[in-house]
Amino acid sequence: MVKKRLLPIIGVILVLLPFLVRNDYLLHLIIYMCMYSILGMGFSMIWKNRLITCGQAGFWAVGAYTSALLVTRAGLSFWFALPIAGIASALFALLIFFIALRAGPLVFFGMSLVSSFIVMEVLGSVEFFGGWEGLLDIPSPSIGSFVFFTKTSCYYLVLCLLLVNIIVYYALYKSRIGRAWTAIGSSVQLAEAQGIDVYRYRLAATVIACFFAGVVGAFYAHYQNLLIPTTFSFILSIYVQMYALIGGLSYFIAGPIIGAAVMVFLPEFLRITEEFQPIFFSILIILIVIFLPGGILSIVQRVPRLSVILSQIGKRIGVLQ
Amino acid sequence: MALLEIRGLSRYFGGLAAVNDLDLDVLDSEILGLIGPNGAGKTTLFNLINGFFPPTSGEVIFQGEEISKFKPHEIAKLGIGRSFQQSVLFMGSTVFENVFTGFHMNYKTGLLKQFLHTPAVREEEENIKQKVMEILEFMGLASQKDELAQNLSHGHQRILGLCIALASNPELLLLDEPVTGMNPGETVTMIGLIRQLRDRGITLVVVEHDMKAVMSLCDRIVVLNYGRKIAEGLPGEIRENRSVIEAYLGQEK
Repeated sequence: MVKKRLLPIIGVILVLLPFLVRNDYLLHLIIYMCMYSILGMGFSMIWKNRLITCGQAGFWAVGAYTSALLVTRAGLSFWFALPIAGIASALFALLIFFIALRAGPLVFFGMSLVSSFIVMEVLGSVEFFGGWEGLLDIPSPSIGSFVFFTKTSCYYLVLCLLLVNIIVYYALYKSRIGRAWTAIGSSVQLAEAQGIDVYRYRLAATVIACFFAGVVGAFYAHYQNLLIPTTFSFILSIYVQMYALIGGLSYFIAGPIIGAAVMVFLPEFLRITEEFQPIFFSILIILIVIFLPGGILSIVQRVPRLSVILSQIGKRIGVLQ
Repeated sequence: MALLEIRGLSRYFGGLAAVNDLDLDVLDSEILGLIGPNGAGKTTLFNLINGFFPPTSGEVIFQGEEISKFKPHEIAKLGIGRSFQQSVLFMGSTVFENVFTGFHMNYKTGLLKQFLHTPAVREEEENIKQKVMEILEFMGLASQKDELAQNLSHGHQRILGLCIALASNPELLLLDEPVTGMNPGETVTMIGLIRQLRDRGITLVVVEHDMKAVMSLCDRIVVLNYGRKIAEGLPGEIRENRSVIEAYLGQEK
């Protein structure tokens, strides 16, 4: 109930954010946070089926390169390239996982890991994709004469993607499909015995997650205006897992957003340079796993319990008086 | 007419025959007891019927259809439900959600409509929610509908397992040790519930170690040992059967 009352306030803040922040670098970080949250939510959706993916960076790259190549080589408009990038990434996921999933969760994990390496190697080694120097001069998205070049305009664009992503995921989680995923996540045997086609539902979750990873990749390509294969390294896939884990693995939408926010902003505020970030994140994740295994959002769940305890103490004192 | 026919069914794990050339008929609207010492192949037989693993050889025929090559979810759709030996439930969900999820197959609206949450879907969900409450009331769990499954007592967890199996609207229900670990009061309740299910036209196959419960509950009993059928008959006959007594207690010297 509190959540519903908070929604319009959050909405107003999100829309006015560029005018509140008035700082291009901070806005740049927020745009990254939005992109990372979408990747993290994809990981969460796959995790809901108790599958662990190590390859979201690879699917991000597939989307990014598809869109960049379509726009620079084929002269397509960004607005057409965006959904095509998502579909390309989804098809790539389908190709890899429709066999791997039949062999079980462990093979799924292995294949996702391998796919992220393969994607990076292929993008770097094949001249057509721009090689290790990368693809340069990718145009910014534009409508008519308006070009999405300023941070503010790009922020609104990525915000739209994030909202669409959240709405789609929310609708899925609320439906029978989401209930089937929850069932698979809690007991594969029981889900099967209730007539749920575990293989198909798992594949669907993977493909949907990779579709959105591809869409966000397309935005990334045209936001950065250049693509370098090494950006899409395996470590990014690990970071994607960490967004979901730090926020809270049982919070499938809010968790990755909070996790991405923490992992983007905390190193900035603590002034930790890029080289030391992996060490910092490692320590952070160890602390989270030990002290907050439910993620940062699990604190929220503990607060009502605190209020119950406080009121009970209050009652006791009342009785004593 | 037999609802389920098993013909020459075998399943080997390496060199070990867990189920060995088994023939078995389950008749319409009966409660069939399946007993035997530990490792006799009872749970394996359930897993074969319900498709968790394929048989090495032999046939499983349900309502005239050969189903031994089918996947578990396809077999569930044909109308074979099952409950599990341990309390296999959707532990993190409430009692209500557990049964609600169990209704997975009963939706008629397509996935796209589901996703868009159209009024037809909302109406359908309301209907299903009512059916969930009917099942919970029938099984006596309605008062605990908002409790998390993991917080229920053992007895209630077993009953919830049965509720979930009922949600798939089965014609044949396989119950793996429904009263094991229950106190006498819970056992009596459970036996009463299983009888009522049979009265509603559901055929049941029950694996159980509690002999008193099996003898009072079942219409017919089949005894397995080392994956083979060693005896079959009415509860009274089984109680007197020499080979059954030998299988349980060993041979007299």
